[in-house]
Amino acid sequence: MSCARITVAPHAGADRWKLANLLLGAVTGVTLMQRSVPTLHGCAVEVDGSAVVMCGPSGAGKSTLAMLLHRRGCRILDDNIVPLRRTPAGWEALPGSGFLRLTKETMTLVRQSVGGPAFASPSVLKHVHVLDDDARLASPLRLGRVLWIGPVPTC
Amino acid sequence: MSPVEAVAAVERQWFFGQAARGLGLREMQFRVALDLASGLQVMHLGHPPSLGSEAWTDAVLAALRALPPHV
Repeated sequence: MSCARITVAPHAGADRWKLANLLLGAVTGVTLMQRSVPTLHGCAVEVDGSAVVMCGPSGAGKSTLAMLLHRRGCRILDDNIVPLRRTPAGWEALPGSGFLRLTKETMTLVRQSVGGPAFASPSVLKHVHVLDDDARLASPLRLGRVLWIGPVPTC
Repeated sequence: MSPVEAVAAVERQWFFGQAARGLGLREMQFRVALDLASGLQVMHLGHPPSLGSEAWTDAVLAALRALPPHV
């Protein structure tokens, strides 16, 4: 399977944001993997010039932490899907879709209006928060850290 | 396999495991990957005390800035 093409045939009346969430989430992740692009499930922000990737189970607070770090001056690189590439200088995180998917509770917490399109992620209803140009980083960034949020896996 | 590749290999299993709901397997594999990935500077944060904890976020950011940049 080369994943040279993705064909989408949505039902009439299908919610385009739910479709976008699926395509920009698991479908993109699988496609990148098929194309031999190492990809992490998480969020990435810029901290002091390098990329910090937050990984963890759904609902752990990855996007929430990304938003809170953004409020402290960190630009956002990715939400949900973090493609990586190796360069002679090391690993880089590549920029993503330009929006965050946040719960109503998080949007209220950070005083964002809850009006964006909503869709159900695997564990919770989330709203799309489109990032301003100055809030996001649109170019690759050297990978600095990987954070794991949530319990230590015990199985 | 480098540490980054080790973690990415596990994440690859997660993406494909989504369809099979293989989340238990994914957690087990991630634990193995964390062991392999010590050179990746994986920081284990645990649970935030509450969703959106400002103090916890400040502590995370301070910890990140206290460490030298490294992969």
